[in-house]
Amino acid sequence: MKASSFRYIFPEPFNSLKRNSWMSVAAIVTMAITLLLCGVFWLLVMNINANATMMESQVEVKVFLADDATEADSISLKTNLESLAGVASVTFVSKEEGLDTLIARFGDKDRILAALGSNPLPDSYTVTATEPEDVVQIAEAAETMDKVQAVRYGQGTVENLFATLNWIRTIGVGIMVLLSVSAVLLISMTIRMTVIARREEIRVMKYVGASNWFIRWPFLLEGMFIGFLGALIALAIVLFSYDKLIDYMVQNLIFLTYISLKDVIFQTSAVMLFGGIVLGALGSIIPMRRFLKA
Amino acid sequence: MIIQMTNVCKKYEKGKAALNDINIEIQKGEFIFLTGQSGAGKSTMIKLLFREILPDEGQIFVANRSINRLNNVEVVRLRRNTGVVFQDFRLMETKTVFENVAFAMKAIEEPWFLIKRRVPEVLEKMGIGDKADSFPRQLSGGEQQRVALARAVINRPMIILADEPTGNLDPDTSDDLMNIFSQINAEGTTIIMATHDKRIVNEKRKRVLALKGGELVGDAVGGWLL
Repeated sequence: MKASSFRYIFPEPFNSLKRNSWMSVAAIVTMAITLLLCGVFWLLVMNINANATMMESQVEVKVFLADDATEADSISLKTNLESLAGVASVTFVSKEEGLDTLIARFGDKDRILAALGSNPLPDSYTVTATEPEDVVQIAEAAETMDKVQAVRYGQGTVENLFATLNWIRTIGVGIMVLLSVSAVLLISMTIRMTVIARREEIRVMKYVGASNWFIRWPFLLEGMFIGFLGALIALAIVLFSYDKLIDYMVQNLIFLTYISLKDVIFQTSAVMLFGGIVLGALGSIIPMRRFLKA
Repeated sequence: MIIQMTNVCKKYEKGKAALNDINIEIQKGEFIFLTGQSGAGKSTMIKLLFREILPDEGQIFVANRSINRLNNVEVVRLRRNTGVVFQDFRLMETKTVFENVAFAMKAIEEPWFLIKRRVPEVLEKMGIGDKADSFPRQLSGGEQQRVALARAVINRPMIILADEPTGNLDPDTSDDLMNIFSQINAEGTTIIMATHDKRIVNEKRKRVLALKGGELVGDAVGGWLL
């Protein structure tokens, strides 16, 4: 097919959209809802990922020394900890510093001391890992070392977060697939109406020897255009509401981190518009296969 | 030789033969009448020749090429070399006369300047130059068939296949239409016309292929053979 022939093809999708206006609106709305949910899940997953990364980077191992540990014990423990694979840094935290941190977190020094009598905290080492996956290994190795009273790290927190993330992803993907299928089906029904409305023209085109692509393009373009319009609506809703939602979240869930829209606007727009066009094209291929056999 | 059929058989779904062992040769520029009663196999012949259906047995050659096995591109080429006209005109009701004819040129992707030039010329030749902006329902049967014929010849095919083109027309209108067919034939286009109109066949004195019950029972120049 000649590229210049598109001048004959381009007006057709618009004629069809006018002819089947209600069906087209339904298809566009379904497409918009599908892509809106896809967009929301996409941003949700991105935000959860960002939080997971942040929490991972904060994971550190606290190694508490036994009360009877001498200075020499302490130094040899430090050397042992530093020799472990995956250890980035080992920092000594004296029992006084430990108490200061506690006070900084919970307030009033005098009242805490009064309640506790004396400082009950042991000296400790804060070990950070180069890779979050190494944390468990490091903790287990540290537990077997001499003069170690206890080892603490964010057991379970990160694992739970990842498990939750995977669940959200699975459910999200499932819902997106179902919605995509329904959007594709609705588009294919719309295109089928167009095929039926134009069956006389299709017959004449075949009789006079129009190439298959010349016959197909108008239907393909119609599907792609419906997908594109749906994506545009969904994208507009996402872009207008995301900042407002994040403002609300920031005020109410302070301890989480949020991705700002300008960091993801390009990716999100590209994914949604491309997704809409691809789903629209898929929707128009189905009726074409059935009706336009040579 | 532009068309050759060798041992062509075509069965209906029920197994009854629509065409049985047909052997014919048609030279370029011939005017052929396919005659016979309803159900004799005339329409089946026409459909085979523009490959709307395929033969069950035998070979069909158009311009020395077998059309039994063609890929999409070759089917497109065959159709561009073959114009078709039907008894029921098959015009698009929502398009004007000009648009109906121009549609055939758009479909094979001719440039617009050529369409604007050639469509009025051909409408003029068909004697309906003043009807370009009319819709099919505003025209008489004879005029509608001329539009259909204009659409069939606009891309200058080598062969015109006509299935009962005068079937819905009164005798005078039929004669006018036949004169246009003769004129197209005189310009070198091969014409194959299925008809059961004895009067036309007897007047034109062209080669007649007579079909009866799916068999070729006559092949001679002259009048009605049955």
